[in-house]
Amino acid sequence: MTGYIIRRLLQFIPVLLVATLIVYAMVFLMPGDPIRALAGDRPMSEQVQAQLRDQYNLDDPFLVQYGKYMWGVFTQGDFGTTFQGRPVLDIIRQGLPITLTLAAVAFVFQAVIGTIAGILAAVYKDSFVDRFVQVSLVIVVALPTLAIAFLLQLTFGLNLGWFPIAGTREGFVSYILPGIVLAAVSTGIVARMLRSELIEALQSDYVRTATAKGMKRSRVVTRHGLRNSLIPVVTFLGADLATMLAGTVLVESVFNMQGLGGQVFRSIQAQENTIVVGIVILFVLFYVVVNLIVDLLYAVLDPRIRYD
Amino acid sequence: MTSASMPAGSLQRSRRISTAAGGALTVVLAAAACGSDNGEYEASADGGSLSTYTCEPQNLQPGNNTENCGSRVLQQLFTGLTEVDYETYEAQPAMASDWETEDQVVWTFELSDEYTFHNGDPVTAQTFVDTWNWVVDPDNAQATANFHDKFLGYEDVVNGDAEEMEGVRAVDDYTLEIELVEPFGQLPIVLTYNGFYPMPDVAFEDMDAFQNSPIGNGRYQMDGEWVRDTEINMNRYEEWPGEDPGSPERIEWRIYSDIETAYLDVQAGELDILGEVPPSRIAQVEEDFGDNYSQNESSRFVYIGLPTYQEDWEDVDLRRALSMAMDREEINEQIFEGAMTPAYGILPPILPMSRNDACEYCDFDPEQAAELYEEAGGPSEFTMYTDVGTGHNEYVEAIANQWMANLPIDDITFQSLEFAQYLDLHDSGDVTGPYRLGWLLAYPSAQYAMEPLYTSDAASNYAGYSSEEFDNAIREANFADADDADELYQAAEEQLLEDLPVLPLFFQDYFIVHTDRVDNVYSDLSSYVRVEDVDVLE
Amino acid sequence: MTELNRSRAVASAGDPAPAPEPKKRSQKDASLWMDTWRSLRKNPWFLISTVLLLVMITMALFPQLFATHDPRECFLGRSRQEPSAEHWFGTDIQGCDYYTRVIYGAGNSIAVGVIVTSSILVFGSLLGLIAAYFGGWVDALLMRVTDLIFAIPYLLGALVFLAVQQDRNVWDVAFILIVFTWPTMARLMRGSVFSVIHNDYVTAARALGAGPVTIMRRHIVPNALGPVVGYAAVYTGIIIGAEATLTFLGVGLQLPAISWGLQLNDAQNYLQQMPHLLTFPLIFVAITVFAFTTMGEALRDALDPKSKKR
Repeated sequence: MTGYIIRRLLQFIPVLLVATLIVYAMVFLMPGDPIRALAGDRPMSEQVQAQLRDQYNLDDPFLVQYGKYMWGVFTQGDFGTTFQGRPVLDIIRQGLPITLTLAAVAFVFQAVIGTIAGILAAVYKDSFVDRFVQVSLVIVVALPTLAIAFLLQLTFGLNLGWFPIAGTREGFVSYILPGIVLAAVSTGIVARMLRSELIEALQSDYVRTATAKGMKRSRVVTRHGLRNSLIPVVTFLGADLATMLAGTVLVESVFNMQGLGGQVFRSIQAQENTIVVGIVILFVLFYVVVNLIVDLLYAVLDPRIRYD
Repeated sequence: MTSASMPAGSLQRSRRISTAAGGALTVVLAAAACGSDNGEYEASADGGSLSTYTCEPQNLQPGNNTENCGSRVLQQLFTGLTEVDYETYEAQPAMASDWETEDQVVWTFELSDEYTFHNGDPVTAQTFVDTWNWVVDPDNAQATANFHDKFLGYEDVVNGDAEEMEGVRAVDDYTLEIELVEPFGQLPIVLTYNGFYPMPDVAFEDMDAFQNSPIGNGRYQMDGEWVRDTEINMNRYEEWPGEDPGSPERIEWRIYSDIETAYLDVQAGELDILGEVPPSRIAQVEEDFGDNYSQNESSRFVYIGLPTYQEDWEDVDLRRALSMAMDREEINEQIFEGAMTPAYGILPPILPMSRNDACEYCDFDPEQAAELYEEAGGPSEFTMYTDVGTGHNEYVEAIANQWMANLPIDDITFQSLEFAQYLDLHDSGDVTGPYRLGWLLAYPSAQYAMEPLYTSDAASNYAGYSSEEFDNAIREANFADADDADELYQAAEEQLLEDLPVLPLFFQDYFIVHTDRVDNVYSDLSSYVRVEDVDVLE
Repeated sequence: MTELNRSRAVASAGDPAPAPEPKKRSQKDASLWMDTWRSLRKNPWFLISTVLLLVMITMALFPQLFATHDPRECFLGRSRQEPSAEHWFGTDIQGCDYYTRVIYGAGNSIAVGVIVTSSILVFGSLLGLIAAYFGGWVDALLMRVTDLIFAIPYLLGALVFLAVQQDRNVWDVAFILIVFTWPTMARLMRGSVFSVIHNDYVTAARALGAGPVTIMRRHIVPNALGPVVGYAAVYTGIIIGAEATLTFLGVGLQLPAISWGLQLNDAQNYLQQMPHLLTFPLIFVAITVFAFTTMGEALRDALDPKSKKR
C-alpha cells in the first residue's frame, strides 16, 4: 500500500513537466502580442515595448523562455513576476485560501445535500421528493450560472439580507452563496446518480436477504445499499473537484472574490505565462492528490479492490 | 437629452425621497438640520467617509498608468502643475500658480512653494525635472513616456543618446522652464494628465514597493496599503495648500471585478457610489434608485472605423453611404434606452468648441445612401469586427441589420476577437471590413480627440487614414495659442467629416447611482466621479 | 444520435448472467431486445420522452415547419416587445421574432449537445474501460493523461485552437469541448468497471478462458454503463450551456449564428426587465434535458435484469 502511494506521488513529476510545457507552449502560441495589449488602444512607444520584452524574456526562443522560468521555480522557488512587477507567489498566497475555501464549501454542499437527496429519492422512488430532485436538476442545468448567481444575490442578498451580496469581507458567510452556485448542477447530478445506483443495489440479492432476515430498513440502506452505490458518486465528486476550478472563474467574478480561478482567466487573456504556469503547477499537484484519494477510497468502499 | 456634466447641472439632486432605508435616519437628522441645501440632511462636519467603485488598477504608478481603474485613484493622490477646470474644461493653476509663453515653444511655469509630498518632502521644479526624465528613460518602461514626446530632447533620451531631456529645466527651486520641439498651445491642458505628476525620490529607488502605498502631493494620502483586488483607502491630506481641498474626510475605493455586483451593493447600501451603471440596468435605475442617480456626458467616442487601406473601402462615397444608412437615434433608443448621445461629429459635446451637428453625411437617409452605395459599387458581402466580452455585439449587430435592410448588402458576417488579437489584426492590416472601437480623452483637448487617431501614421490610426489637408490643419491648430485654437480644430474636424475614415456612432453617457448618504455626485469627461466634491450627509 | 444508439446497442447486447455458450448469442440477443422493448413500451415515461425528443429533433432539422417568421428579419423599431398574438414569445433586443429565433436555435444547440456527449460517451468510456481492465502501467498512463487535461485551463486550449481556426462552426466548437471534457467520463467508467470487475461472473468467465474483449463486452460493459449513461444524459444539457460560455469568451459560435446558449447568455443581463427573453429558451433547454434524462433512466431500467424480475 505504502509502495503504491509513493509510486503514485512520483508520477506527479512527469505530469508536472508535461503539463507546464504544454501550457507554456499554448500561451506562447496564443495570437496577439501581450505587451501591445497591456497598453490597450493607447500604444506605448516602441522603446518602452522593447524594454518590457527584454525584461520578461519575451524575445527568447520558446524553449529558452520555458527553461529560464522552470529553472527559477525549481532552484530558487522564484515563480517570477507579472508584467506589472507583482510577484506571482504573492498572487498565489492571496488567492489560494479563497479558492480552496470556496471549493470546500461547494464540495461539502454537493456531497452532503446530494447524498441526502439521492437517498430520499431512491427510498421514496417516484414520490414527490424524487420528482422534485429531477425537476430541480433539469432547471438548474438549463439556467446559466450567471442567472443563478444573480437570482440568489437578489433574493438572499438584497431582499432578505441573509448573506452578503459579494466580497469576502464578512468571512465564512460570504462563501455560502457562491459555494451553492458553484455546487448547484453537481448536487443534482450526485443525487440522480446515487438514486439510480441505490435503486439497483436495493434490488440485489444480498439486500433482499438482509431485509428478509428482519434487518431494519434504514440499516439496510446505509450498511449495504449505500456502500455499494458510492463508487460512481465518489468518482464523480473527485473528477468534479477538478473541473470545479474552471467553474470558479465565473463565480469568483460575480461574487467579487479574488481567487485563483479568476486570476488564471485574466492572466490567460493578458498572456502572462508566469502566472498561468505558476497556478497550473498548483492545479497539477491538487489533481494528483485528489485522484489518489479517490482511488484509495475505492479500496475502502469495496474490499475486493486492492492495490499492491 | 439632458446634459449633466457640470456640477451645477447634475440631475436630480435637489429633491430627495426618503426610501425605507433612509427614513429612520431622516427623522433623527431632520431635527438637527439647519441651512443644509436639501433641508433634510446636513453635510457631515468633518467631511465624512464614503466608499466608491473602481476596478483593479494595472498599477499605481503615475508615469505608467493609462487606464481608468488606476487613473481616477491617482488623481486624488497627486497634484500636477495644472488641473482641469470641470466647468470650462480649460487648464487652471494647481501646483503652478502661473505660466507664460511668447511663442508656444518655450514655457515658464511659476510653482507654488507650499506643496509637500505626504512624507513631508517639498515639491520643487527639480522634482518635475527628475520625475519626467525618469519616466521617459526607456530602462524604466513607463507607459506614459510618449506623452512627453513634444519636449525638446525626448528623442535623445529615448534613443539612449542622452540621460536627460534638454528642454526641461529648473531655473530655480520654484521656476520650471519647458522647451518644446515645435509650438504647442495645448501644453497647459496636456500637463493635467497623470503622466506628468511629480514623484518623490523614494519612488525611483523601488517603484514596485512605492506603488503599494504611493506617496503623492495630492488632496488625499494613502491609509495603509493597496489591498490587491480588494480596496484602496485614503484620508484627506490636511496640509494640502490648494484652494479647494477635498470635501470627504475619507475615501474608500472598493475594487470590483463585476459591475453588476457593484450595482447590487449600492442598492443594498454596502457601497455609496457607482459611476458606471451597466447598460442593461439603465432602464431600471429610476425604479431602483429614485432620485439617487444622474446621467453624465463623457468624452468617450464610439465609432465604426473603416480600413481605408483596403481597396474595398477606398471610395469615400461608400463610407458616406454606410454612415447615412445608420439610424443613430433608433440605435440609441432601442439598444441603449436613450442613454447615449448619438454622434454627429468627432469632437465630444463636452468640449466647448464641439458642434454635434457638424457631420453632413451622418443624418439618416436610406434612399440617398442606397443610391450612393450602388453607384460606388459597394460589396454585397463583408465582415464586421468587434472585440469580445463587453456588450459591443448588440449595437454592432443592430448596425449590420440596418445596413442589410437599407443598402444592397446580402450578408454580413462577424468576427469577434480577444482584445490582444483584435489589436494584432489591426496592426498587421488584416482587417477587411468595418470595425468597432472607442476613444476616451486623457485630457480635455480637441487635439487629443483627433491627432493620435487620424494623422498619417499615428500610433492609433487603425483606419490607415492619410490626408495632407488634415495633417496640416491639426498642425496649424496645435501651433496656435489655446485661445485662438478652437476654430482651427473645428476646421480639422470638418476635413475628417468630409472623408469619414470613421463613422461617428455615439458619445457615451455614464449613469451614476448612489446611496442616500451622499450628494453632489457627478462625473467628468473621463467618466470619473469627482469624489473630492461629493458631500457626505450624516 | 447514431453513436449514442450504437453504444446503447452494445449495452443491450451484453448479458449480465454467467457466460452461456457463445454460439447461442444471436438468439439470446434477439430475446433480450424483445424483453427490453416490451418493458420500454409499458413505461409511460419512455413514451413521453421519445415524443419530446422526436419533436425537438424535427425542430432542429426542419425549423421552417414550426417558425412563423424569417429568423433574420429584424427591425429595431419593434425591439423587446412582450409576447403577443403576432409574436408569441415577444421580440428580442434586435427586434427579431423571438419564437422563430428560439425554434431556429434548436439546430445548433442540439447538434453541439449530441455530438459532444455521444463522442465523449464512446471515447471516454472506452479509455476508462481499458484503464480499469488492464490496470498497471496502462491505467497509470491513461489516468495521468486525464490529470494533464484537467490541469490545462480549457479556455487556454479554446483560445489557441479557435484562434487558428477562423470560421468556427458547430464541429469546431464541439471538438474543443470534447477534447477538454472526456476525462470525467473516463474516470466514471473506470470507477464503475472497478466495482464490477471483481464479481463472480467475471472471474468465472476468465476461468473458462474467455478473451478480454468478450469479457469486457459481455460481462463488464453492460453492468458498468449505468452511471455513465445517466451522466451523459444530464451532460447534454450542460454542454448546451457551455457552448454559450465559449461564445461569451469569444471562442464559441460567431454571430449571426443562433443558438439557445447564445439566447440564454444575452438574456441574463435583462432578467429583471425582460424575463421572457430568458424564460422561453430556458423552457426549451429544460425540456430537452428532461427528455434525455428520462429516456436514459427508462433505458437503464429496461436493461437492468434485476428490475425485470419485479
